[in-house]
Amino acid sequence: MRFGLVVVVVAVGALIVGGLVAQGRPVGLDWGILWTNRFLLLQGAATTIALAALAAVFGTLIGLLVALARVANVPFLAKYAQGYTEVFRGSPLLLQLFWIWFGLPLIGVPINGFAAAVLGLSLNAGAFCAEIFRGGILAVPRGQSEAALATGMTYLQTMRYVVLPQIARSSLPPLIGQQISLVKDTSLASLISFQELMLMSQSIIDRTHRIFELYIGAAAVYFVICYPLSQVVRTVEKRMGRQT
Amino acid sequence: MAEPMIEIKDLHKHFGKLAVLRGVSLSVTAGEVVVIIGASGSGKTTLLRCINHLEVPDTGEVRVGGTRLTDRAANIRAVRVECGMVFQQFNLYPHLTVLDNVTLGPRVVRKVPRRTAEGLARELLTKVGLSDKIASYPGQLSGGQQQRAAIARALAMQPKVMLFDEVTSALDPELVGEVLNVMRDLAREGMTMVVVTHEMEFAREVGDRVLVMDDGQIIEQGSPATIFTKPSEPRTRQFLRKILDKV
Amino acid sequence: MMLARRAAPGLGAGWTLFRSIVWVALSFLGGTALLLLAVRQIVIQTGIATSGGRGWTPHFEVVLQNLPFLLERLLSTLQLAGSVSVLAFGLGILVALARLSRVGLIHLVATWYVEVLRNTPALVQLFLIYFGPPTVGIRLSVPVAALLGLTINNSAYMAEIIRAGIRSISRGQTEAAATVGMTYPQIMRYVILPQALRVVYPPMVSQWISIVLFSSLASVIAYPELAEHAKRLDSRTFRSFEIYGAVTVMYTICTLTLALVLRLIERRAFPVAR
Repeated sequence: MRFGLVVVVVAVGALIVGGLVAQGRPVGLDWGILWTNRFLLLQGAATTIALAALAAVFGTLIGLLVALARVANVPFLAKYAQGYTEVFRGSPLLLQLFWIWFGLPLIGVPINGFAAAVLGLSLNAGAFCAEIFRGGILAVPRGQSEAALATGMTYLQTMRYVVLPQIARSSLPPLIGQQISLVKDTSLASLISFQELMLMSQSIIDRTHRIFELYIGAAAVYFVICYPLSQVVRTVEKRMGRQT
Repeated sequence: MAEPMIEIKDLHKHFGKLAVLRGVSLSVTAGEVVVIIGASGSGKTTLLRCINHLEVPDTGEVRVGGTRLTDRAANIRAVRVECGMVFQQFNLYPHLTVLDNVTLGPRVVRKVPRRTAEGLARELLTKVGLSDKIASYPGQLSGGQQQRAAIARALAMQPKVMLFDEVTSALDPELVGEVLNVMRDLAREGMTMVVVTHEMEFAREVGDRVLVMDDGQIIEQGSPATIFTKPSEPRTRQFLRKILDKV
Repeated sequence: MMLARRAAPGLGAGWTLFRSIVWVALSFLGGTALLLLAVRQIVIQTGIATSGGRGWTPHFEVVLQNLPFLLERLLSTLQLAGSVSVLAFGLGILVALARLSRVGLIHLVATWYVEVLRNTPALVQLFLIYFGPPTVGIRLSVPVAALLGLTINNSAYMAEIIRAGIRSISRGQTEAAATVGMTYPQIMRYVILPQALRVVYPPMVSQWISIVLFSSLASVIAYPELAEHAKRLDSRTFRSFEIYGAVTVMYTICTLTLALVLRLIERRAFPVAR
């Protein structure tokens, strides 16, 4: 990997130099444009991170509740939770965002861009987290919950003291993976006019017509956020593999 | 006559098309040790699990300590608190130490403060011979030790009735004795016990009453002496012949 | 209260399972619709409603009238997804093998290919491919750009799935085959890949379904698939709630059916060895 880093730095350096040298010529890449607009881009990046973090928290909470609902023996609740999971995992995030952003105000529910983005991303992430948690819960041998219930514990107590502590570790890699996807999904919020990194880049493009530079710059920001997280997942998975 | 500790009236249960319990009635008085034997599939485990609502009968009535088992959660929990259950697969909580395993129930269900619960737990674990394993995790214990810990865990709730579901079937033969000894002591102390088992020696020595089940019904019941030496039912004789041949 | 019994999956229960899942999804939507109506009532009552709120009543005729078009577009979505799946799979195999290569440069390039594509949003990649080249004089048509963008993006994910599958086949098999004198390509073809295919199938199914869902991104560059038609209908009639709701349902039923069909194929193609 270190060798790769060197290669990339050299390549990027070459691009920058090439860009600076080729200024004015039609095929030139003006990387300086990223520097000029750095504040706007940082703003966009910050908004993206904030959006992703918020949706991650809500999504995880929703996922946990939905997973608990699905595994419980209350028929209507379990079916409703299942339906929620099927619908939000089985349809495009784009349409979910559109439904919320365009649809809700029409039926009288006022919602701004930020709230719509958070809501849409959280509901979507929640469905995926629910599947992750549900898988973890089902992996815990049934006998243990029976033993807990036989002692007189309620369903929630059984979950809290016996089942959930055991899935905490095994659920971590897929959960982090889900959050990585969430960061990338925030780019869709640009399509409902929410000012995150993508939309910010696009407004700069509208002004400067520097398409390659800005989209690559935006991609680099996403990469810088997501890549370390994916390495964390790999490390956690390796460590868990060693423990079993 | 004292009210029976457990009263079961005419239980019926189906699993899909299969009839698992076909009209089972039973009465257990306080302090009695009832041993249920029978071939696999005879319904004895299902019967046991109906007592604390781990299985729900289609029809029939179950009463424990005077309380009738209904479908309401509070009622089910009230009954379960009075029944301690020990499982064939031990079902200890792997992420907790033995001590925490035993104290979890009392702390969470009976709201016993931690200190008190731990004191009681230590007593019980000493009683079952695990005083040196208090801080160990279930994964570090042998099968026999795990099962004894499971018994201590069930006793920690101070139940009126102890239910044993083939608790030695998953154990290596040399570990069976230590568990049966604990159960023997419990019986001697006057605990009401319902034991589903294949251990005939135990049934003979410790049981007050032996129930023979076959095909979802109690085909015969009586004192161990009667059942084992002069069974009246042909099916009982068949079953005993098969079992005792192996013993 | 007890934990619900897990239903045992039955082989012939495919249709019942499908029916029950569709039923569940629809009842979820019904329940949510009631919930939203309740919310709407509250919002209207307390006076914080938006202007359009009060006068709104559901008007699903837009959806019903346009149903044939929508279904046609659904097919076009599936076509796009299908093409992407096949191409990305092929490309994915190449990249996976490159990732497993012992030649440093090939391994490096492949690794960076995968990491960059997996850690950046598909939307950015699509925009780069569609809007980028015109600045240097190359104009890609919408279908080509959509196909290219989606294929390249998904090839990275597929490469990882395939690589994991290949690595999961124990080294011993490679050694055994090598000792008989098989060459690396032969070992791959006859020993490793057939087994890897079975391991790879379930995560591949998720990826295929993900492709169907992400094909909706093509609507952003005006590719004529289902999401794009939904947007067009919405801008014409403003019946956003009904349109996007209905199209969401269509996608859901589509992916559920797909998942079921692919799972049945799995049972046939890779029977569980006893």
